[in-house]
Amino acid sequence: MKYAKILPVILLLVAFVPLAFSQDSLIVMQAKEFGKLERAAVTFNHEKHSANMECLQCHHDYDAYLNNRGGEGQPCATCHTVAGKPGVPALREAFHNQCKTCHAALSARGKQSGPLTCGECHIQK
Amino acid sequence: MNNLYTFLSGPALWAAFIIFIGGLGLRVAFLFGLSLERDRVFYNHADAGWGFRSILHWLIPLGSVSLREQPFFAVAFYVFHVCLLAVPLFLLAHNILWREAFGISLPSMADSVSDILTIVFIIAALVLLLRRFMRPEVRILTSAWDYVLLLLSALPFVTGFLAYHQVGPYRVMMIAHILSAEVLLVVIPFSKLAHMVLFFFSRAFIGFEMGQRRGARTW
Amino acid sequence: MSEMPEKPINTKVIRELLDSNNGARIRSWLSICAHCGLCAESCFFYLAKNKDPKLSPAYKVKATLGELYRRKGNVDRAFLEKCYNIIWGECTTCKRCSLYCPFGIDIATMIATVRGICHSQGIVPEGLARTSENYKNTGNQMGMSVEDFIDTCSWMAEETAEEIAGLDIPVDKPGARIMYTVNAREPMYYPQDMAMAAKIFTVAEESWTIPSTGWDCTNLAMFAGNRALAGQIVKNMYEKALELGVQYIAITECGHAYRSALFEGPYLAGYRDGKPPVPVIHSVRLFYEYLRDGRIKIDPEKMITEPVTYQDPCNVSRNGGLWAEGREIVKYLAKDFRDMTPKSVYNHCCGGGGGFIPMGAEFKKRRMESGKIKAEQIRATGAKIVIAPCHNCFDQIRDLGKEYDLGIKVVSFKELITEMMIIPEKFQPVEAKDEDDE
Repeated sequence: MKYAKILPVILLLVAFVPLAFSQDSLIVMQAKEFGKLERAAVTFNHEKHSANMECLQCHHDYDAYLNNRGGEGQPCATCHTVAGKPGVPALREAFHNQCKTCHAALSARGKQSGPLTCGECHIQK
Repeated sequence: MNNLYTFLSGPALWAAFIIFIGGLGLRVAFLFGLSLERDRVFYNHADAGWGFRSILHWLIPLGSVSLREQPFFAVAFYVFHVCLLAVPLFLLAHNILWREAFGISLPSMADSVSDILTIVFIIAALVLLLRRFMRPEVRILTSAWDYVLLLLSALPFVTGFLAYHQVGPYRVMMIAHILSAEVLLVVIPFSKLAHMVLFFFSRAFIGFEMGQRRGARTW
Repeated sequence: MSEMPEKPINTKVIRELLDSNNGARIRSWLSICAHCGLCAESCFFYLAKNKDPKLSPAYKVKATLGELYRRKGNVDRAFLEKCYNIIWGECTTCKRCSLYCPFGIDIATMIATVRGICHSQGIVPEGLARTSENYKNTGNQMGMSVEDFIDTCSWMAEETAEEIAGLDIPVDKPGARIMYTVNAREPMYYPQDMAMAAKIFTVAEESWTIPSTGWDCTNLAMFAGNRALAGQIVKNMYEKALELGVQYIAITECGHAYRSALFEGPYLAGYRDGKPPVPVIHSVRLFYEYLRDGRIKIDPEKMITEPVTYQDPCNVSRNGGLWAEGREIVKYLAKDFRDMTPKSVYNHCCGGGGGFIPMGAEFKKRRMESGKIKAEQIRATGAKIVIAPCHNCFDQIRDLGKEYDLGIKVVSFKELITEMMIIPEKFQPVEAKDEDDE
């Protein structure tokens, strides 16, 4: 009976395994919507970012009053289109706003931060 | 290194642009003030048609007799100037930065186009450099400063090209790129490169001085 | 160079001149010259002397005016003597280079500025300095007295009236339409030139007069860098024209006289609006109008059949705007006209301009060397007759013809027109009619 008690726990753990691995730690940001990219695709370290900041900061969902209701982990391209829509930044701007603007803000406050220059994110292989 | 980048792309860039535009503005204003008393000949014979045609003929490729007589160099001069203006103004990355900073930007070219134009520019700059060095009538006019200005004009392109292709230490290249461009901007109003503005005045003047007064074309 | 006593260079005066000339144009020109060297190929001195880079227009300015400003006028005699050689010996201020400069830099104006600076220190070619004395004393470059001039006019009128009935050379006739001004060498050495003009005016039934003062339209002081005197020379002419109440000041077939009277004179004389007080018309324009309007008719039988070319004097064509009128006249006179290359606005200076001819023997060798380009241009046309409506071009091309064995004859429009025009009945002298009857 002892095992019977442990089994659900094990099953539960096993059941969560796919979830835990559903996000790669490194994501190549190659939204197919862009077609051929102008610059080398950015390799994004999701693990490093998710360890240090709120998911909602990137996975946002703003209402009409700019309250962030929080997204559910959808990729950016779900809402942000290449051409952009009124009130919704275009996909490239969205990426740049999220990454570069944040890096710049942190850097300005003297905190440890990510790259600011083009080639440090768009690294050519 | 991030701090240096932030400084160069922030306050230093503002300073460079202010000196560039303000310096050119002050220089033109100073010359204007001086001309009112000392260069009546400029105003006495001013004529928009002749002035405009004089400028236009020197802006279009092979539009002037002087350049038609030296077509090879004419092409080099022309390409040099077109790329010098077009690449920085219509480069995608620059426009993205302007959009982020000011919310407005110019139309931009594909990176592949900018890349080719940059190579073309560097070749044209080399042709001009060799010409300056090899043609006796140009060499005799050339001082070290002329070489410095030519190299300074080409440096942002060379560093930008290397940074884009990520050859060499990237951050160093990037900083060299921004720094050289800022130095160039600051130098323009105080050197012969002020011809980017003064050309229009001097060319218009000879255009109407010869044209309006004598009906003679100066191109 | 004039044998002036070696007085020390007054750098204060040089500084003042540099400062007063330091306007927006000269500042811009000197500071924006890109040192591209495109002007070199435009200069006949450069082309004639095996492309010596020191003869490129930009270098000539850089080595003279550029250096004067760089040193803030603190220069010595040796430097000014170096300038002397460049500004008088290597430039005729023909202004061709300004057309070939991307920025349209007016090299000639800057060379003229250096001439003014050298002049302030008494460093001036002797041939020009000598004329300055004459201008000051008599108002004309040859030092001719008013009496001699008037005598010459009446002598010529008398002599020519035998050929054309009713011919007169009216002196100081108020209210005439044109006041005809001449080059002092005409009354002095070639009085027949004045007779020819009188014939043309008589046949064209022009209302004209010759002034007793201000009749010398030349302005060698302008080339000597003596701005004050140059201004006085044109003023004499303007004031006489105003006094006589004429409609036009007409200029003989002389290039620099036209440049002086119409373009530089107003500024030299201190007219802020840059316009002469009386309109100025050149003989080329005047003769063209006579032919166009039928006031002068050419006898087609007498048209020249030999190959003819036309010398565009810099100060009549490029700097005077009359290249088309000149060619129109030639059409009336010659059957086989051959243009030079380049021509019109782009024509090369003959090498005798800018004061070169009156600068005399000291500069003769260079004048012949630099004239190589013009000699080659003429040779390439195969012309046997060169029409040159300018005294300096005339002398220079005649000299070049000998030097380079071109086998050419140089003529003026006056000469051809008087030889070839139809003399209407009413101007036929009585004796001539008798001869025809026989």
